[in-house]
Amino acid sequence: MRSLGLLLLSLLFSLALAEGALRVLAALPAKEKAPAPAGDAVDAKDAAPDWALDDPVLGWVNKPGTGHPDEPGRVPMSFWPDGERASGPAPDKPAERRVLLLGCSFTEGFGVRDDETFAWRLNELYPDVRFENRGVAGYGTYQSLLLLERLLRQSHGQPPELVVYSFIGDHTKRNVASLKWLRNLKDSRGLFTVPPRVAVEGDGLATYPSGRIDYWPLERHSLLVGRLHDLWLRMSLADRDRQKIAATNRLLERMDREVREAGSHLLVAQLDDMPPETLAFMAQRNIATVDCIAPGYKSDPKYRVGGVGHPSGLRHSLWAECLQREFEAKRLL
Amino acid sequence: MRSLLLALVVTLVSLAIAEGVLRLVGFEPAPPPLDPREHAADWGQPDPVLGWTNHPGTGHSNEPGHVAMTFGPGGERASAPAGEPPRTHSVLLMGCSYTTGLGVADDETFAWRLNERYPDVRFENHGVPGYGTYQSLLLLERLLRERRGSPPDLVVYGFIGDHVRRNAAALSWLRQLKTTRGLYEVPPHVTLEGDGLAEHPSGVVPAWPLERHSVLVRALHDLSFGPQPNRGRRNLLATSRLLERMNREVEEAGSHLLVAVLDDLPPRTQAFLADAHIAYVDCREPAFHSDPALQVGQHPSAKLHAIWSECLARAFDARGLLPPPG
Repeated sequence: MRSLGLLLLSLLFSLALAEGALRVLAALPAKEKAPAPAGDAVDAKDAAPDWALDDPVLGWVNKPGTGHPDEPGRVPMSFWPDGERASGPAPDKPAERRVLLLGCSFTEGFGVRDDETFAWRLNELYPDVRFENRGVAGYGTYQSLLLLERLLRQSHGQPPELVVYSFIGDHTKRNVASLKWLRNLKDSRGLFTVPPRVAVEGDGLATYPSGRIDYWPLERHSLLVGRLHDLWLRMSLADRDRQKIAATNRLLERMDREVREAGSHLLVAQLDDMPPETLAFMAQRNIATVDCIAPGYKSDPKYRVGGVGHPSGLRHSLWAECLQREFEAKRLL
Repeated sequence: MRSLLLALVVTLVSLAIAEGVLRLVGFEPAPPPLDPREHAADWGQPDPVLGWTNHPGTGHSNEPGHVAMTFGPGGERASAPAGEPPRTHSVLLMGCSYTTGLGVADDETFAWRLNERYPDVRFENHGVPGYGTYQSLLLLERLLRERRGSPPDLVVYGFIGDHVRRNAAALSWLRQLKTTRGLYEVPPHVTLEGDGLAEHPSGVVPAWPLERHSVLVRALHDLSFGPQPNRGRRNLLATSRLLERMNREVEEAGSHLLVAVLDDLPPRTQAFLADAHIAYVDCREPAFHSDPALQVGQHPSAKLHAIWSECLARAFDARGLLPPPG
């Protein structure tokens, strides 16, 4: 009994020592620990974006009305009642000919005015065609696919003439909800928001719904528990990074197949960082793609909002021109 | 060296005893591969997304009589005379072999009878033998896309209680889906994940070495499919979520869903349908499993199909689910 008590005491002492050492090394009090996996709750006023709404299937969608990005200038972004980013003066442009633009914040035009987005510019270039900007900040290929499936169901006799999915390399980690991506997705309570994701399974893809990763007991009070949780997440989610390219390729194949089943065509517009394996895969599967990546994007401040943020209005106008060239060269419209 | 030998002998004797006891209480090793000439279904073909679909052309049921079943180019079961003029309205009939009409002639299915009864409406029979709710949903999603945004007037999903285990690819169901090579053919299936559903693609699980000779190896292989605590309850919940999703997607497409209960409705599923305001009609025939006149082998007979078409017609008319005759 005495030995057991001694054992317990030494265990508690060791844990306290480890906790203290971690706090000293981190030079941060526990309440302010920045890198902990599920740290303290973030002030909801600061963290909750005013442009997003929860969605049980997609994770989140654009919120109708006016939202503001956390980018220099905080320009207002307008969204129509179904979450479409305003890409023309009014939502009622004749819709006999429609093109769906899908993708992430780069497509949506996060940080630029409505009339600076490439969707708006394309609407000006093609008065007979309605380009619908369905980009949603933070989406990867899988969320764009889920949104596309919903939009195709809702198309009520008018399938789009073309679907343009704008790809950036970051989508690969979003598709599998890698830990690197989850660290960007903390909610206002400091928990990881897990978007809908996929995993390679046999010859196909398994899909998983959106959810949350909860705190471990005592995690909000102990740096040691926080680090252990972090370690566990790194180990248990390590496989996701290894799968991200294969999973993305299979998603692109599925997107292409479903768009064709709906009687339309898919064009994958490369806006930033295209993995060579994915490029080769698309060539092998005859998935149409166009390279609109500007080599100077990351280094030249004029291509970024405020010189540091998302793609600027100038970058959007170059994308509009790139897409226009492709539409005309391949007679896609 | 002597101790090692002794340990080996004891292990082998223990394994032999375990094998003997399992055989004594009625367990059997995995059955040998089937003769493909006798057992391969000529009505099915592999599909990378759905697992399998109906094979266009003529297939034959493995029920008594081996009646011919006609399938169109898209796998739809023939439900009206060939060359009929197009009709104004359409209804999609989704489900398993009960909806397909496995074992009965084309003109005996409830789909055919409904087409005779409603001359303005085209009832498309998209039932596929072996499907559960999830495969029906995947096929429905494909059909809705292929209709280029023109939704059907109504979607009828023919439900039977067996779909619950099919949706989760339960081991008891996989045992019935062994390929002629003796492998488990795993259909696309779902599992519960948080507040939603994880979806898994189709695949094949190969047999373990000696599985066909040893009960013990077979039992270990079965165990490898994982523990199944509360499996029944979880499968029911998964089915409820699938029904909810089917209803939502049909509504998003601008149509309506009617769940036609053809056999065995679990009380939890019934309660869920009521709570979620998903329209359903109970067309179960209590005598189905006891009256030979209602059966062709293990499947519903033409007589039961006639009863179902009457039941559905009553529901359509009473609830105004179909457009009035033009």
